[in-house]
Amino acid sequence: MKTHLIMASIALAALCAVAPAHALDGETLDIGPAEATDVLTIDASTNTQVFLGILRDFQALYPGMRVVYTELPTQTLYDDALTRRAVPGPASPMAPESASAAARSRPDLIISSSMDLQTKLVNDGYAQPHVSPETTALPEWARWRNEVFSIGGEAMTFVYNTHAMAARDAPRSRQQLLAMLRDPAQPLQGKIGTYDVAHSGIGYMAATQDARRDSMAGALWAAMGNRAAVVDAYSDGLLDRIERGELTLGYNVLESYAQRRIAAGAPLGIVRPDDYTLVVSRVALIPRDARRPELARRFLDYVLSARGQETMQRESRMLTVRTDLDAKAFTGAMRPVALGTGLLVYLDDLKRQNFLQAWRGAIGQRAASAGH
Amino acid sequence: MRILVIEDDDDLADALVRRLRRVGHAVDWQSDGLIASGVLEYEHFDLVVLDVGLPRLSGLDILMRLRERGDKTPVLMLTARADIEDRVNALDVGADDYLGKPFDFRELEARCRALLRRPTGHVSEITRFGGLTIDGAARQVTFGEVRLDLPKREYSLLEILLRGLGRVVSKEEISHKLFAFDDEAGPNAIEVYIARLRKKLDGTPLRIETSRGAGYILHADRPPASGDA
Amino acid sequence: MREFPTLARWSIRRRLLVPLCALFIAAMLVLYVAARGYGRQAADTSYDHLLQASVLSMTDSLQLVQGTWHMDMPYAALEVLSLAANDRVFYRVTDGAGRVVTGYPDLPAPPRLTADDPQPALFDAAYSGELVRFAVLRHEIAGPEANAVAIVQVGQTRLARDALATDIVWRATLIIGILTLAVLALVWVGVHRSLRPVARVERELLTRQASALSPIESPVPRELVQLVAALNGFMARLAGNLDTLRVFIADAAHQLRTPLAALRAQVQVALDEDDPAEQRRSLIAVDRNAARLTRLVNQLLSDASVNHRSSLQRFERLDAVALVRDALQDVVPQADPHPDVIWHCALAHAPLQGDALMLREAVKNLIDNALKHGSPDRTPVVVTLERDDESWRLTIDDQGPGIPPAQAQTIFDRFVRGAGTRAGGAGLGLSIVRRVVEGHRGTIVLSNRVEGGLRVSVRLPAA
Repeated sequence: MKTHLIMASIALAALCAVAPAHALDGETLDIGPAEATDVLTIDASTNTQVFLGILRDFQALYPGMRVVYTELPTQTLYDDALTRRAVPGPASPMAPESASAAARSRPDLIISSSMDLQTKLVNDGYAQPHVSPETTALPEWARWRNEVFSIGGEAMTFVYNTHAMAARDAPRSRQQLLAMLRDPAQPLQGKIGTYDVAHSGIGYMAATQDARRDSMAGALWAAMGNRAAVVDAYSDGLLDRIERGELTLGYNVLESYAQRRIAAGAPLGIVRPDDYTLVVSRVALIPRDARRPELARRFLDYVLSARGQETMQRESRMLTVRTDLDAKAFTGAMRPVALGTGLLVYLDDLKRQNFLQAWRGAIGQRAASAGH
Repeated sequence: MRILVIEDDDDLADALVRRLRRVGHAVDWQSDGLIASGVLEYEHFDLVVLDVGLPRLSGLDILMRLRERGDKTPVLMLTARADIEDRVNALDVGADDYLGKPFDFRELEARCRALLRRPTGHVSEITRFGGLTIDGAARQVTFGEVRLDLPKREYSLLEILLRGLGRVVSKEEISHKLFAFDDEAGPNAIEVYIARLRKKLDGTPLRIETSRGAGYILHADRPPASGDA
Repeated sequence: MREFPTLARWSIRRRLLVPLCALFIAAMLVLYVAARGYGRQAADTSYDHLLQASVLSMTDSLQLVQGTWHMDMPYAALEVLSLAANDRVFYRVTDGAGRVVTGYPDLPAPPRLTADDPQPALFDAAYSGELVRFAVLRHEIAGPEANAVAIVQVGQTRLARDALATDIVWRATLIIGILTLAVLALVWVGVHRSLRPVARVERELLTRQASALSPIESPVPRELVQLVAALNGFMARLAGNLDTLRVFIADAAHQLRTPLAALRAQVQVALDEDDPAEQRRSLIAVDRNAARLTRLVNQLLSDASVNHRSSLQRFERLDAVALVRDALQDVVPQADPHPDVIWHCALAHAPLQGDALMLREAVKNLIDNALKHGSPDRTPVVVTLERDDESWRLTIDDQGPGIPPAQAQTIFDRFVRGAGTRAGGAGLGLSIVRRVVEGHRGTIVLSNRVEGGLRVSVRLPAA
């Protein structure tokens, strides 16, 4: 009983420890000659480490260009775009907050893993179109209005600690995971983790996509809640816990992050669920008020080219979106999330409120009463 | 020889008749086609000079009737038309020769001579009997170096007798060929001409033999030779 | 050559194609305008249905909870609009008081809304820098205290529907365009094939000899039958003319050759002749034939000149009295022995409209004829000119044999000579005269005089 109480309080504490998202001071990469006249400014939500290889390869192609790459959270990227815009445009139903946005120069390219927020920017007229042979070669789901493009795919997977769980025991599908969660032996009690949907853009999007595709999504979250699931707003946070052994399994974890750690020697295993594997994309758009849009175009075309995609795969461990070059990339259970107006639905305030309420209800409430 | 000129143009006919008569032929003239055709039915001529354009009966019709009767009298046609078709037509109908107006008299005479030659089978106008040379074109007879003086009628008589070389030529025939309708010939005219001719032919290879009651025969000591020497 | 108006010179192809072209271009324009209207309408209708479906779907998910509106937007509400792949979407839900429940707060206001309209109303308004199509529905449900109203508005940019409208329009126009081209091509081919019989006739005529005037053999369609018949008729007349001409030339040649032959023959005889009397005879004959030739040539030339003149029609004001006198002067030989020609004319002047040369030739011919045939023993020929009502009457009386009644008409034809005339003339005279008289709208009558002889009566209208 006491152990359970301690576990529960730890879980609670862990939950409480989760702080609401606030604007981070963006980590910045500055590559290229300092006196270069061509300066490409990229704001992105991707970890600088992940993008370093790509940026270096791009720089090798255009040695005279300087690239300034700043890492920011997806919400910040969105809010900044709204604040920056001086020309009249639709006022977003989501209140912009970041004040630091004004201080920074306008980016030429915004790359975010938050597909819905990027789509909303495009819908509300914040992006400018770009057409090229590379963009035309993209599959339909990977671009919308020629204003937002998927540059690489990320599978949402189960990630588990190999010490805590043998490969053969790891669940292969959501049904198996649900069964494992409902197992009276409680193997995953307090050991399951996932995104904090309320505070993670990508987490929210993955959760809403699950709600659409999986009839058992609600049951899954409820089951996770019953097992005192731990939620984290950041992929790294989640993976740290799994690596340390605090958690056995993470649900909806970005594959590339896990792969990087595995390459560094972490005791992690990855399962692509075979009922369906959600593939989210990192999407890029060129803001309408970009100062050097032609440089952004150049970068986009590079990233979408065969060389760029190949570098992406190698350096960032992302899936290629050029299905015309690699037809096998999205076969089987892979389900890419498509860019389009559908993504706007879950951005609706009321809808979001409803969803979060339901989700919190499923995961949060139960977690509180997990210890019995 | 006895020639019939059928031509309706007075002056042309006049010229023709006068010319042919000068040469020594016995020439009759008709200007009406129908009458001319009738004349041809009952009178024989050695040659007919026939104009195509005639009143009442055209030259071609006269010719056709002539040939239909089987009459082989040589016919020389004259016409003002120049069509080759007319010529061919005329020759086909039975003309022996054809001459277009206006013509040169010399040509006319030569053609007449050629037509008159035919029955005899002579190929040219020069006939020789040994030293005797008869020039049909010039209408002269020479024996050796000496030219025999033969007036027109006598020459014509010789011509007539030559045609019937070796056979009897009756007095009627001679008379018919020697005199035209209008010529006045006495009953003894022929004997007179024969006598004169006989005298002139004395010594030549040709001699005239009288066949009592029948007529006269011209004999040649040597067979005739024609062409140049 | 008359100048025909340019329009008359158009080819049949052009005549058909130009109006057809114009018609089709006009039709295309009309259809384009109609198609544009229809296209917009059709595109709007189809996409409007989606917009309305979206509004209805959102309205369906509205719930009144404790006096406030709640909406759990169905995925389909915006997913259905993704049929227009590149269009942006905007939406807003407000309550009865105008407070925004959710969505884009600054959407343009809708026009008057009636409560009982079951279907969402549609309108266009500018938003976010573009023209946006909106559907709006006023939704009212009964609440605990009072009725609650919600206004649901969904909008979508017009890219897809404009593209569809354009597509419809251009397809329609393309079809019409293709149809036009097809029709024009068909007409072109049709005309070409229809004109083949003409080409055939043309070829037949081209390959003909100049003298071949037989009727055209090629079969022709009904429309051309009359033309071909007219052409055949024309050719027949031409052939007739040519035959007449040929006969004329042949006869003329014949006529000329005979006196020439006589001339030549007589000369040759004269050259051979020693007898002066015979020579003289020949010379007289030469003179006679030379005169014949002269007369003949004159007549032929007169005929030719009359022919030529009659096609020129140079009429002027003349005095018939002077004219006849001149003619008499030309024709009647002055040297002895000269024939007796008595000239009666009481008039000082006899004005008329005519061609001096032609009239003179005609009169000369008549007098010449009278002298030649009507004065066998130098009996006088009487020429009278007098007034007869509105005309001048010229009468030539002779005491010759006259003409047999049977020949009264044919005597006027070329080369027909009166009975008893022999190689005297070519027989052209009277045909020339008739042509001249008719050309002057006059009349000529031949009659036998009671006292014997021929009377020629010519009437010409006075000026």
